[in-house]
Amino acid sequence: MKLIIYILTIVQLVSASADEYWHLDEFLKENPRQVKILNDFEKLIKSDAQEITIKQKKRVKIALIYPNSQVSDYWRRNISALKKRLTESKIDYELNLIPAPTGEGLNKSSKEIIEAIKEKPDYLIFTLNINEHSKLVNQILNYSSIKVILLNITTPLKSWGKNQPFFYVGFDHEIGTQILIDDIKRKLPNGGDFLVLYHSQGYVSTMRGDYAIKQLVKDKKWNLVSRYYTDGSGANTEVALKDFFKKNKKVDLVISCSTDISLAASKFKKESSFLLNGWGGGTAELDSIKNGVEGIDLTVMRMNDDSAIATAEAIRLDLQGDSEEVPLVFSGEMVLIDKQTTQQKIESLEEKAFRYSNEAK
Amino acid sequence: MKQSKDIKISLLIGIIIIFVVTLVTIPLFYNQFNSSMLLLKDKTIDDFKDDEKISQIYINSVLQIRSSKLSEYVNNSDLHEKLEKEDYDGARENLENAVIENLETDFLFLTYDGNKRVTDVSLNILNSKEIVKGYIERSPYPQRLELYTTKSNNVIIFANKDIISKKTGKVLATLHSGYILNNKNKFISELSQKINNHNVYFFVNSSLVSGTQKINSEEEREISAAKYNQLIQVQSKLYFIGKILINEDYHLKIVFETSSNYIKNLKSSYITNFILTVLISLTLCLIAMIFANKLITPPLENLMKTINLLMIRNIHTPKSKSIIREFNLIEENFIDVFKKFQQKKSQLAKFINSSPISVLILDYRGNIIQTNQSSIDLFKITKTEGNILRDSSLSDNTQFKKIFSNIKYSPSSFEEEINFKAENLWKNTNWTFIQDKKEDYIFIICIDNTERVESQAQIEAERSKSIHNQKLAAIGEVASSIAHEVNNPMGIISLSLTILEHELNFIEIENEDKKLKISRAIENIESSVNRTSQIVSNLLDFSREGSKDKLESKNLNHVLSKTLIFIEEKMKRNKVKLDIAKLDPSINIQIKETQFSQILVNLINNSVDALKETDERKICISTEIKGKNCIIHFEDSGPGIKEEIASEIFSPFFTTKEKGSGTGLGLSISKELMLEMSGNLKLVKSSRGAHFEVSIPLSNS
Repeated sequence: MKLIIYILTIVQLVSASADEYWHLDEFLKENPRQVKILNDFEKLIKSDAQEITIKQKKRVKIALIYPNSQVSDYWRRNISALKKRLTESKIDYELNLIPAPTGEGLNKSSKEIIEAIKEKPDYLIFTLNINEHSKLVNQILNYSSIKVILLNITTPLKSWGKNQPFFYVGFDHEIGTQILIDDIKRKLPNGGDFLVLYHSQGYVSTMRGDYAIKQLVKDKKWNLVSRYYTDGSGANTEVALKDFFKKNKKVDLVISCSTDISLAASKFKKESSFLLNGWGGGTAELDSIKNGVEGIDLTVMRMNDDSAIATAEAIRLDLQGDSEEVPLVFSGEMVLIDKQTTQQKIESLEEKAFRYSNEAK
Repeated sequence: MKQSKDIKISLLIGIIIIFVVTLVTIPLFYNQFNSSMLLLKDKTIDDFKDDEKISQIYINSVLQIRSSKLSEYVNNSDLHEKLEKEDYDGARENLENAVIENLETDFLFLTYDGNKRVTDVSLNILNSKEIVKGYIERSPYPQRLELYTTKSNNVIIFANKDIISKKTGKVLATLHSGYILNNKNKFISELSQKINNHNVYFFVNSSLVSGTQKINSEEEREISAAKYNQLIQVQSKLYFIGKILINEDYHLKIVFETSSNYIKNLKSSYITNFILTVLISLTLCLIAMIFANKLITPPLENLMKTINLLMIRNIHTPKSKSIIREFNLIEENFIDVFKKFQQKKSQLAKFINSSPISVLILDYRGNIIQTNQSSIDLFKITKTEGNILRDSSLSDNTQFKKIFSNIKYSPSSFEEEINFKAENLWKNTNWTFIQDKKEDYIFIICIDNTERVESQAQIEAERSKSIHNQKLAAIGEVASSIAHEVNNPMGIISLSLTILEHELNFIEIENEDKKLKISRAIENIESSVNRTSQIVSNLLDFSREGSKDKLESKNLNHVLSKTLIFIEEKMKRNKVKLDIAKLDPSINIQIKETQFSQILVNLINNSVDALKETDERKICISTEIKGKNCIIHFEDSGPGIKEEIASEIFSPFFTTKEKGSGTGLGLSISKELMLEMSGNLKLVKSSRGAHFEVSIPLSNS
């Protein structure tokens, strides 16, 4: 019986869908003990670094796999913030950065992960592509002592049950999208036609794009006109929008699922007036917002360094033997930025968001 | 004491075994059964939860397979081409082929972003158009999977896939497929196979949608009312209520069924085990009883025989040893202890028996339990195992009987002085009674004080006698000097009277009356002088020391007359009449006059005192001759002497008078004096008043 369950679980993992995640609010409701841990942990993130309380017997090995071709400076900043916080915490560490080319399919990125595992790091940090990596992560969780930190995912996989990765850290897509939708509804109280520009098919598109549609069409004022998959590429976005405007004269709102899509879409604001969102509030997006009518209209700005600091803190606590003080999921703070946000406010938020990574610029 | 029932030790062991087995096994079985039931329930729930997981995974995989087929189909180049060209009829044609050839689906239709067009090629017997319309209206946003329930309780799992333009990335259309869950025999039987052929049912909105078997309305009702993760029993079947998630908003109620026979089996297995345990226990009990009968009872009986022989006959007959060591030890120790006890008992018995103090142990009926030689001698016990109230000199002692009859109401320990008569001798004794009312025995210690009291009495009597004699002597002295003093003037008066008489003869008195008056006066004076002289003479006689007197023959009447002089004043004062009509005045008796007078005074004096409280006050003194003795009866009309004190009135210091009024020696001394004169003084039973009898020898003359 157990064998059947195991085999079927493997089958199920391959076919995991969005419904197999614990949504963050759902997870905290199911695990009320985590709320207290999370609140205490948040205080650590907002505070200055604390020195590690133990003397390390050996240098801690951390492996980080990152997509090397993203326009967003999210990863670059993340890496530098992580390094700095670890150093401030007087942790003796060795960070092995493994760039993984994006959009090259399952085998390529999985190979990078396998290579990283062979080095036997103490901590393995990477972004989970649920359809591609979950089987591999499951093996790491079951058969090795490597502690897995999943970046940019805040929705624990239900099927892993109690055998979860060490730490899920990032900025919750649904929380971020909700901030955007709330502001869009304020800006366009009468609703209108809207277009969705997805990333590639999968997790991010579902969590951001589908969630936005779900929230908007609850209100009959909003009419979904069309959807395009762009694979996160600016060129594809341009193709999509050209196609769209060939058949449609106007649209009131364009929902974008990533910075690159938003930046590409902003170019079409010369031809048509529509409300355009960004996602993440990185430097490129902030610059675009400042760019008058043609730029992005609003974005949700992640307090970028929160995730790196959280990762460093989780490692520090774990090394100290206080792993029970590490929450399973941590979502960093996100703030809405639009064209009305003053420069001073933006600078202040930038200072906060990049409190570690700015110096490394 | 309540007699407890006599139970054989082997039977007792048997009862104990049954009792212990019952006491231990029933709760044990009960707890074990409950624990087993709980474990079984948990195990059943766990098994069903495994079934639930397998079902979830199976359904996911089935849906995934369908989703994969959809995914495959959404890449169909012909369909893409038609949709790119917005050739919706062409797209319909393509779809119609697909629904027949490739896709095992009940619903298949396309929706388009931005407009309400629907290309529906669904093939099913339901009202497809209406269902599709309802579904699109309710779920306008992208949703991978959805559970849709129609008004007629048909349940459809819808899935969709975007058809994405390869040129522009645009979602050209969304392909929807729907799978009716109702009565899908193939689907549900495959699922049943995956979960050990358990019967499985799907419920939506409390209604049965599909199942491997038919269920009746009662079962459907009970299942609908049950909560998730609950195990319920309906009739002879067990149902587990599980949940199958379709997506975060929708779930199916999945129900697994199994036979509850194994609960029955468990129960019957426990009952069988219990009966077996009881049977084994009874067998064990029987064996234990037989063993006890063989191994314990004979040595115990031997031990009892040894003890009995030792205790009753003091014979120690060594028996064959028991195989049970403890019995041998008990026997050896008992013999040892018993010997020491016998030794101590013998020492104690000797000590008690040789004690000068009388010891008695009686029960409350007076039966003698234990006594000693002093008791036997003192109480003149005739039977040592008899009854003290029957077989001893205490049998006619009123005081003892009274004390004994009231002893239960007396304190547990008290002392009493008892005078009793043993073989004509009065005994004065001090008793200590110690009683144990619970154990029904009275322990008595009796100290014989007779000799001490007698000597005390003698001393007192002697002393009293001496005082009396001294008084009498003093009175005698006074009386003789008075007599002397009185006799001289009396002589002068008598002489003067003689002279006066003589001289009167020479004086002529003309008046005869005067002459007669003078003559009478002179006679009176002479008579008074003679009477005075007589009194003085009697007083002199009475005051003389009588003990040294010799027995003399005296006229009783004369002696009585002389004696009455001393008491007639008291009698007059108390208005007591003396009847001596039946007194023979001719009787002469052999007495010591002074002492006899004293006895008469005592007896009359006692009667006068007793008569004070009665209306009729009369003393009768009569005589009769019995052989050589004169019997003088003293009877009065007073209250008489109570029977209970009759035997004690001659005891020294016994008195019924108030303290200070009498010495208690009167009758005792009187009797002693009478005995000295070879006579006697006795109390005679009388129906009215006191009746004393004085017997005294008659004079020879």
